Amino acid sequence: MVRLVLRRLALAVPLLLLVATLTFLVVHAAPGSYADAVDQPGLPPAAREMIRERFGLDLPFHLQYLRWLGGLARGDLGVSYLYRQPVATVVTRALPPTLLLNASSLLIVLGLGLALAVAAVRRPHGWVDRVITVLSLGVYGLPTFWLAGLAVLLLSHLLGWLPPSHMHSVDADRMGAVSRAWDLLRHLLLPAVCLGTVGAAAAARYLRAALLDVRSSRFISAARARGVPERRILQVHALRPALLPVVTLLGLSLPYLVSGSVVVETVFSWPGMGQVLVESASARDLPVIMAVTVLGAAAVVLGNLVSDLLYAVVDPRVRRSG
Amino acid sequence: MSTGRGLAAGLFGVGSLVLACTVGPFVMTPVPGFDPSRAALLPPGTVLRTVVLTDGTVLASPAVEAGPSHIRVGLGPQAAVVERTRVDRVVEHRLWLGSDRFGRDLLRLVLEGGRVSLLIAAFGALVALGIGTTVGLLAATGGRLVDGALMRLVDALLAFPVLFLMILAAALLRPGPSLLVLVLGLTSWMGLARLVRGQVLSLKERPFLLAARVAGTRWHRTWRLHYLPNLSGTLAQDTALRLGDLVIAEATLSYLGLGVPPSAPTWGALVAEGHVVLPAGWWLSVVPGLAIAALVISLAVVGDALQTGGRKTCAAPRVPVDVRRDTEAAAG
Repeated sequence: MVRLVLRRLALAVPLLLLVATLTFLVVHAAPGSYADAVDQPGLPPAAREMIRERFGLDLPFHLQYLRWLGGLARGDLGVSYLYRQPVATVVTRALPPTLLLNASSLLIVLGLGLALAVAAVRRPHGWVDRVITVLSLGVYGLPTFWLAGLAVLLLSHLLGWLPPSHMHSVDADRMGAVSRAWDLLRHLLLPAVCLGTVGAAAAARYLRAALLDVRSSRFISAARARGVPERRILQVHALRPALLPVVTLLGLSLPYLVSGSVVVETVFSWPGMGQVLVESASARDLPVIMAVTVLGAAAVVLGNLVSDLLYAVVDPRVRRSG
Repeated sequence: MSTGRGLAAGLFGVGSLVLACTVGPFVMTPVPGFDPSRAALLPPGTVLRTVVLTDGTVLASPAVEAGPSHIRVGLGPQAAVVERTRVDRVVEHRLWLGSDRFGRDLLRLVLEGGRVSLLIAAFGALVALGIGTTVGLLAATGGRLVDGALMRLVDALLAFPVLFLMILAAALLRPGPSLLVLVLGLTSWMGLARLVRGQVLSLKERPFLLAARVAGTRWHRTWRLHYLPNLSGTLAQDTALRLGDLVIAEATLSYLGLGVPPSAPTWGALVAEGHVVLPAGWWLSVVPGLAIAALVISLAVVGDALQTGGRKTCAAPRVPVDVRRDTEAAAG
């Protein structure tokens, strides 16, 4: 088990390095150099030189790369042009809202996805299964931003049940702890459900196939032939192998959640990483774009790592071969 | 749903949308111009009367009232009163989907936007198809070093959330439609490359390819006569699914304001514009979204049908394409 963890970690590190390198290369290969972003008409040449020096833009290409990589390793992500703050400050401010949103969405993806899949598999090709299949296909085809807009229209504008955007009410500072938490929950509900539902539709499609696979495997038939009661088959024999796809799903839904939250955060003005990414992209704030991209990729790599390791916990075959 | 029926239904959906978007704008009654002050935000189904004056000015409103010597266009303070002698002609047409806040016909916008969206997604899928197939084939046939390098690149690119890659590229390149095609294509070929590599690796050991190798067939001939025909099913199915993803990706980028410039609004940009006027002009965001959904779901149905169809052919392998021609060529 320890060897497995170490080996997977050893594979993840060069991958992260490659990801960082690719990000740097893409940003620097793009037309309009790093310097143009700082450059402004009417800037005195001396000031221009100072800025170039300050951001290390006068260094040769490979030194800039090493400098950026070194900073990345130390957690020094540079200074944002747009926010005029260290990138690390911008990121640490935006990270908690994103984590909150993603964690609640993940709960919905797993809970709703699993519930739908189990309901569908109980009687394959029955009407419940068909309705769920059609619904999940329908939701899969809907763009997240459109679904979010529709939810805002119905639940906020027409019914007035939930606030349409932002994370807190304007007067949240003057609220007590309990009503503040309630206020946050009300603001969280719409974005989390929008992000979670689309994910859950994909999850249900995937889990349904996986569960059907487990159900028709030979050891289940063997257990049935030995006269094991159906409930015990479901709860003991089928459950553990059926957990494997859930674990895979955990790893798979991470990139979706990270990307999806970009859209949902924009629609709902949720002050997280997604909004930072879109804002910095619109303003060509390169240090922030690079930092957020690398962090997003790192989240995906780590998510896959965690799901690999969980796989080993759930599946003894993987554990022993590792 | 049987495979054939699913395929037919999906293709019908895709086909009618493509037809509507390409032919539709040309067969619609041409509108003389738009009138932002009087014809904005009209709900679906409104009949709009457009008054064209002799000097070319366009006045439009659902409420046009004709008096003995004057015509009154619009209601209340927005109304314009013009003399009959100055009126050139009056055109009347129904706005089936209403109008946006600039008084433009939403049906026309959706059809024209759809054409741009479809073209971008189609060419993007083509770029991804080309790169994915080439990289997959190269990795599978190019030896260990090439394989290792290409697959590590694929691993690293797959580690990025796709939307991040697209936003990164879109932010740096500020794309017009043609660059957007490149952005979409360059960020979505990795899955296909893996798929093709796997298939080619298993094809490689099949007898007819061993025979081709023994016969000394050159690589481009092997690619053209053996690999590509045998990959065609996989490629078709993957492309159908990819097209749907790219339609959504393009819409998402345009929604975020990182796609095509607003002068050529695509479906995503239309939804974004609709969100600005949300409670009042609900149809402006609902309709283009439904168009996206219809297209993506049709494409998913086609992809699913091809996939189940593909599985059947895998179970009973077809006779490999053109074994004989090669052996004959080698012998001659």
